[in-house]
Amino acid sequence: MSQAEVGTTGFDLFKALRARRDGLMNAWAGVALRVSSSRPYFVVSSALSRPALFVTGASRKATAAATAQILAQMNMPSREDVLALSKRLTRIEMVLDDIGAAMDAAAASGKSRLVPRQPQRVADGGNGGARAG
Amino acid sequence: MTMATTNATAAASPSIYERLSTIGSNLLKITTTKAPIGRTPRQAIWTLNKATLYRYTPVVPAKKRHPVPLLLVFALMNRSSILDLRPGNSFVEYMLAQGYDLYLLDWGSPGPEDSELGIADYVLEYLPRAIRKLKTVSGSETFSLLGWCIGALLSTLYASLRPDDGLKNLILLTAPLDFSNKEAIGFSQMADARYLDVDRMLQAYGNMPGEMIDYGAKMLKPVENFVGSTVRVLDNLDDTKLVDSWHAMNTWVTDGIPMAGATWRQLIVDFYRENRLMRGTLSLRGEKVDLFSLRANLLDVIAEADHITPPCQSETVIARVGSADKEVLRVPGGHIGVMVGSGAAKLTWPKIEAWLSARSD
Repeated sequence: MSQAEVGTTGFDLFKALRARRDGLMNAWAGVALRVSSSRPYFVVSSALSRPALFVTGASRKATAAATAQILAQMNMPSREDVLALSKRLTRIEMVLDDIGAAMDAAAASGKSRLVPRQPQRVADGGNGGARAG
Repeated sequence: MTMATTNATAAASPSIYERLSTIGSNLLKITTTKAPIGRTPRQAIWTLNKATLYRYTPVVPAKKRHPVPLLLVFALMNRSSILDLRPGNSFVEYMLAQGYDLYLLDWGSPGPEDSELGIADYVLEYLPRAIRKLKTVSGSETFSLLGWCIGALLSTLYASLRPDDGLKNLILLTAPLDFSNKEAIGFSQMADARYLDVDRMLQAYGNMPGEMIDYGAKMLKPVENFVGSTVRVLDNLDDTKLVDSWHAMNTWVTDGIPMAGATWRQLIVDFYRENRLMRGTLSLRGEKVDLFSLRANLLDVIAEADHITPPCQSETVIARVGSADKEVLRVPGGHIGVMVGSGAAKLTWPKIEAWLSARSD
């Protein structure tokens, strides 16, 4: 038997340990999946998340109110002002987009009006180019 | 085995020092850097708020290209770079090589000012405007649309509401459309009104944070996602090819983006809880969404091992649409794996391309 063959058929401790580990992980995955898709899991995670969400929401509200007060005292625009400005800019963007599209359409229709004249220019021996348009 | 062969084998296999060096550099790479993803050359041709429409630089001469352009639309809560992950593993690269004039609508990342952005805004404002620009740039009045995940849901709504807009071919990839089978859909159980308080969540965050969406998706297979993936790469740290592939995917997975609050609320309430699209009770800005109005050629791609959008969510749409030319394509793989990786390149991409190619001239 060659050296290579000995290497492939001999006992590999790491391979055995990996196989054992993979087996355990598969079993763990099955259990975890059953747990995470069970009704008790949803009940518990929902019960745990409610107070956390309540605290996060309340602190967000309090921070926003305090920030708004400070900004107002400094005569600076509030968060709401900036958000409203951003929405307004998006609306302006939409209007500009419509104008841009109308210009594209006008340019395209101008081009399409030019298209039927091309054969005539050829028929004119190429001299009709100056009259085109 | 002869002495010469033994020597050749020894020379080909790396020494222990080389292996350790490779392991060290790969470990350093995945723990300290982000992989370069989404690098196929492209130009931004249109923007609106955070959304951008890109046109990929064609690699096939204009005369050999398909005349009908293709628009790619991905989900709202992940980066669209998954469609162009890395050279050799990029759907974008593949379709460009097949001669498509390729466009990508990237939704961008919504900020606090976008918390009121709803599904109607995406379907009736952003998508039609991007398509208008696509038509102008490509010079084609017809186009094909490929939507993936929530992108497929938005594409379906658009195709149903604007059937006369020039949409010729519609490809839906792992489309979450039917929410009736609550037991089979993992997210439906999470979205149940008894356990999830949508109002409180949005009061706390404004938009739905990307990390929470990612956490929810990972909890559908907790051990595989939180532990298995890392163990697999640690087992193969000396395999640079596999590490690079994992690194690219991990860079994409960990770069989630928030979902606009109003959109997330609508997704949970109107779709996951009330299944309004399939029940025929969905309206966007007063326009009723009627799936039978969808008349474009339809390819419905279903990933057989998808645990995020199980097949039951995508199968039923085929019987509800008005398309004369419609087909279901079942491919092995999961929600993302169906379009990424060597299996996707061999099984999914060629089939999609073959279907589209026959309808793009």
